[in-house]
Amino acid sequence: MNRINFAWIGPALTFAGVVTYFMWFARYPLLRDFPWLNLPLVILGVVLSFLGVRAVFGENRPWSRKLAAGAGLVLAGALATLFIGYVFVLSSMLPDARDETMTMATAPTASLTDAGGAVVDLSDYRGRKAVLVFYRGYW
Amino acid sequence: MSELQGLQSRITEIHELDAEILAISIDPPEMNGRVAQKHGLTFPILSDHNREAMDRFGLRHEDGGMEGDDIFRPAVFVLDREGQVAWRKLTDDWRVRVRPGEIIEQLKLVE
Repeated sequence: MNRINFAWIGPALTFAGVVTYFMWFARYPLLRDFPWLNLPLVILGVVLSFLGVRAVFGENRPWSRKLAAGAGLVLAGALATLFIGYVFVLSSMLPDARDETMTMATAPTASLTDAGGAVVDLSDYRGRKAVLVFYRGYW
Repeated sequence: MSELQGLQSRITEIHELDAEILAISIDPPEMNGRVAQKHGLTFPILSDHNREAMDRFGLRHEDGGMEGDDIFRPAVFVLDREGQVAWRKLTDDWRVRVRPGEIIEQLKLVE
């Protein structure tokens, strides 16, 4: 009886594994750079989904239950594939860095606007060390 | 945003090394102001709305996006007092960003 619940728990676990990765990964570099927590969750969810399907089909259950369990497994599998594809393939599909960026000796200057609307130039900050952080939204 | 929050949490150490953090985004200044306020950032977030800095640092990749659009590579540059590039780290994985500890180690190496 307990194993039949896996048909629900499995897809839910995979879903939770994917969602929490994107909620957490920005905050904890250790869990972000490699999904130590989320990858096992996602895979465990698929395994449980499979066990759930096997249990449902092994017992004399109505077709609606079998269909629901099967759909859960397909969903979990698709989510897991997308997650693994993103983490291990898509997210590192960036073009090679440009040569001039790699060999640049003197930093270029540029006019930028601060949060108050004032125009500043990167060269204004010379005299101290500077860390330029070109970041992209959200995190 | 945690990339910036991480730096904010080490800002005292960074200032003790006589360095300033300059975050650069393509968002409009008003949005940068909201971000700074929301996360309590005390270093400037500068708006590169016309992509001038991104272009000069070679961070724009034409047609680099999935749909043939331009993409902008996240990156960190450590400059010495004369504006020479002492260290750089270019993202080659969107998920992986430079950690504050690494930046501080590099700042210690800069005269």
